[in-house]
Amino acid sequence: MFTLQRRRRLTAWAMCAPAVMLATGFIFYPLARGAWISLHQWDGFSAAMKWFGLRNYANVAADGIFWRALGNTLIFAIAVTVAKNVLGMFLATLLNRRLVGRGLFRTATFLPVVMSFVVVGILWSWIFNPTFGLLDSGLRMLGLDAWVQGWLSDPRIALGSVIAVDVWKWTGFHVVVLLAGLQTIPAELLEAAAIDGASKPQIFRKITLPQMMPVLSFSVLMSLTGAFVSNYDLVYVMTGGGPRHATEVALTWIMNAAFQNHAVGKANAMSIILFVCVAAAGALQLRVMMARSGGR
Amino acid sequence: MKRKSTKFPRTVGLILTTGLLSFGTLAACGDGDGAATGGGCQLTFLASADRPQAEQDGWKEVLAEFSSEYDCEVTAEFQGAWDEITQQVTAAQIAHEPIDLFITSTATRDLAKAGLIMSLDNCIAGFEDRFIDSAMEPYNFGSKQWAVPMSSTDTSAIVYNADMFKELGIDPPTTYEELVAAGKTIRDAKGIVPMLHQGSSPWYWGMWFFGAFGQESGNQSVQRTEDFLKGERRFDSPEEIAALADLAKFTEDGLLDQTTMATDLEGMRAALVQGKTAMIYVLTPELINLRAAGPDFEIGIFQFPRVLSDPAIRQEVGGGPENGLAIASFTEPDNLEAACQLVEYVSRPGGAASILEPIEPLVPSVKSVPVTQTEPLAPQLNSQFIPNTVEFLDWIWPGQINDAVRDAITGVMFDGVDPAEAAAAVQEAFDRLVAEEDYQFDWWADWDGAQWAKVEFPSGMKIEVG
Repeated sequence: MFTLQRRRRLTAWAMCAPAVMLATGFIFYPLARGAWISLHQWDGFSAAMKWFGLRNYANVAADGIFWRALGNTLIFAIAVTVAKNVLGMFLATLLNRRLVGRGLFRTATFLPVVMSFVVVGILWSWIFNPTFGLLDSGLRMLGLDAWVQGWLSDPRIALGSVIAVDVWKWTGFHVVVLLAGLQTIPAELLEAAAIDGASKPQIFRKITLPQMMPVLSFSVLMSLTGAFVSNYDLVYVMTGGGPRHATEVALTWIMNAAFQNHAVGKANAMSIILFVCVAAAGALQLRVMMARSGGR
Repeated sequence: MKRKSTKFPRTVGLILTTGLLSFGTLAACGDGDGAATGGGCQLTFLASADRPQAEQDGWKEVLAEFSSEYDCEVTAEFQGAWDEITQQVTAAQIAHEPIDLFITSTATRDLAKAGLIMSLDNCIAGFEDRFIDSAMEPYNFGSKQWAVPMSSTDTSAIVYNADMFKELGIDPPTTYEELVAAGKTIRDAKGIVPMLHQGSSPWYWGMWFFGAFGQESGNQSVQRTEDFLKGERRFDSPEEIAALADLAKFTEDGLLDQTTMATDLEGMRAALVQGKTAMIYVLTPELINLRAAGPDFEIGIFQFPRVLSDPAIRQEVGGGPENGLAIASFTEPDNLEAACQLVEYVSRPGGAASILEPIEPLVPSVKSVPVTQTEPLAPQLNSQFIPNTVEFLDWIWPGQINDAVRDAITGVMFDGVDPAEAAAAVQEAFDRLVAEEDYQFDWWADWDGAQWAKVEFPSGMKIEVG
């Protein structure tokens, strides 16, 4: 027979159980197992793993392509986070107004979000195609031949092209999040400021932005952590990490190590390093933004 | 009281049931298709699901006939992509799932090294002459045969727009100099890039090196590659450097340009069909896709050009069978005889025809299967190209060397990297591989009797050869 308090506690545990089970099975156990494998030499299919200590980490430290990929990942993460949130805030502000066809614009903005990465990757690869792609053809048609580029073949701009596509795909998601935030700002606050003679930029800076900080924190956190760990599909489909590793990100290089080179121990060491980087970046960003929003 | 005491268990039960159902649903993925039933043995056959439906149907038909004739139930599973077969077999072994035979791909060396497949010499002794030699070769290493080819065999060819060549008065080039001259004529007359390659798919870059190194090595490319991987030869040797220098000329002489780096298979095909390029360097199955794209011009093929003037040196290129049939080493000992009998059965003229004819093989790996009649270039491929085809070197190189060679090729072709420097980078990658992963090419040399006992097909089994 259960006391009321004990029953409540057990009910709470029972309610949490599915999430705990899933998190244990699909997050905590794989993470622990990955950390364990990173201390071994293993090809992924041999029965036995060979104890390797920290040698995999030393090998990763000496792997120039991994550090280049990690650098690209960082550039990718920062660029898409800034672009998605700035553009998202701009579009959300526009779509919060009374516009003719507002529903259509909102739908159009969100549409890329529901498209698969593979579809988006192939679509944009063809748009960027140097031989018959829409972009270069359009530029030539407008007489802008000097702007014609090897969008995915020139190592200097290929990463920028992939970043642009990721921003195009995900901005709609952030627009929805930020739009929801904008709609929670009390109208009387904005009206009072306007009556007091505040200009629109002043209202945005002094009222809208501080009011939006918790939502913005969430939006930035989502885009930052997502950019670190969800760029594999797009890069793989669009460039495969090329040309000459110019768009290589940590995930494509980890997958290459694990499934092409069968260096599963080393791949796990890279994954652990990436995990630490993402966790640190996420924690730092959350701390800074929550501090600015007064801990809300 | 009664209500209080039952509330928690009901809630917990509901949630746990939901959780278990979720896991159950996840675990129940897969496309099993029992080909037939029988009262005797039970075999499981695994192949990737990305092969043509006609080929899958052919396998099911032949497996059903085998089941009926030998009273042995065969379950056919078609799952995943061709390059995931290693993971699938590994997962099956770990999960103790029954897999007896499967279609292997480029990872056969890795599977053999991991002890996951059987050496088939004792199994196929009575019928190994059914397969063409060049298709058997990629599955033969350490003097053992680890799989048998059951597919079309690929080789490499430069496909060109024959009407454009005729219009411009160009004959199919044989030498590199003739190719450069053809490229200049095309560029001047049409204003297009003469050649295109699917450069955004990194694994296809190797074929350029196979063509050049095949000649620079004096048609010893496979031997030289094995020597390199054994540590008996350096990659920055004169022949390898010369091959990379040959490739650098393709861009220096304007045959290829940077656009190739962003072109995928479909883009390359579309460019040729739309007349935006005149030549593409491809694996021969692409001919089928090109025909399907409906070009309004005649298609021609010629070999990778002569980069050396010595006529005694053949224009060697890379190739290999698309699929091999292997027996899993973890198959039940009682199933071995039936598994080998199945290998024999599917390679009989009738069985092989049912499986391979629907895919219209340009170069059938089983001798009894006729070359497709629908591709007019198939006879030329078989008579002219196949005799000059050796094993894809990237099937011999470990993944790390594949990465390094691709970087070397694209580096010399598009980034102005010095060929000697590029070759040295490949050697450095090899040295790192040995230091980091204890890489050993001839792993079989160190295997002991117990390891061989696990993978060697036993002798003395009664295999009926039909």
